[in-house]
Amino acid sequence: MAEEEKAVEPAAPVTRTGPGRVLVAVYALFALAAGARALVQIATKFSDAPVAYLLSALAAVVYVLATVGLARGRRLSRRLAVVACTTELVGVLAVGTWSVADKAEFPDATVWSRYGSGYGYVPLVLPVLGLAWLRHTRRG
Amino acid sequence: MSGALVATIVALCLALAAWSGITVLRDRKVGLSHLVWLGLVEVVVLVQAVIAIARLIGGHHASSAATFVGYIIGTLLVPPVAGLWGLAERTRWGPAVVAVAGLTLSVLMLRWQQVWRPNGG
Repeated sequence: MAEEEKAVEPAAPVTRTGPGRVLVAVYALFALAAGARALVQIATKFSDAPVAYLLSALAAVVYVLATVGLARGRRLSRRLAVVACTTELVGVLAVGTWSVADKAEFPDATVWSRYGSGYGYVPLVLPVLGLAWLRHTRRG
Repeated sequence: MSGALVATIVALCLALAAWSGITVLRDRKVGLSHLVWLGLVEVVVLVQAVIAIARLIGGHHASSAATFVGYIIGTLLVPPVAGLWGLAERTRWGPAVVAVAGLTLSVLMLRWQQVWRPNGG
């Protein structure tokens, strides 16, 4: 039987197996939630709070990138995931603080407002778990 | 939206989450029971969605029709995607995905009810 020579990555994509499965699932859920919310907000009442809704859209993009990065798990995808999760952590802390300090700018809840209080503070914990998992599944 | 139907769906989803949690503890992978259960949830959610859309067309004023429809589409995506993703993981972490889906679906149904009210959402 002829053996097929395939270019194989030295490390199997482990970020999406084991506990990583659940992590990717949660990230995908947030990508969906943030994306849908941002879409509806921007499409129907953008002028009400443009800053908040644009940040909502940014959060959605970050979640999508993190989901894809973690699910693919190849070397470059891992780097993408690290960047996305780091941005996410900075984002939830920055937007969280901003939304508490300037309530007028954030009339409606967005994923990162008040540190993700509208989502059980999962948005606050998730990037920490994501980065920890990426660190745990590092090679060497 | 029928309170009884929503309560039924929430109960189904929470029970699925609990059953999946037990599966995780038993260190088993996703089986037919989980997939059938997810399928059942999908069907009942679809029934609720059809009823709700009919009422929206009939003139019910939800707090935001766009948001409500968004929730319908999103909710309907969860069972099949969670089922496939969990099934592909041939370890106890597969049912863990289904458990997360069950819990999420319960919360989503409660959101449906909130957004359905004219001053909800």
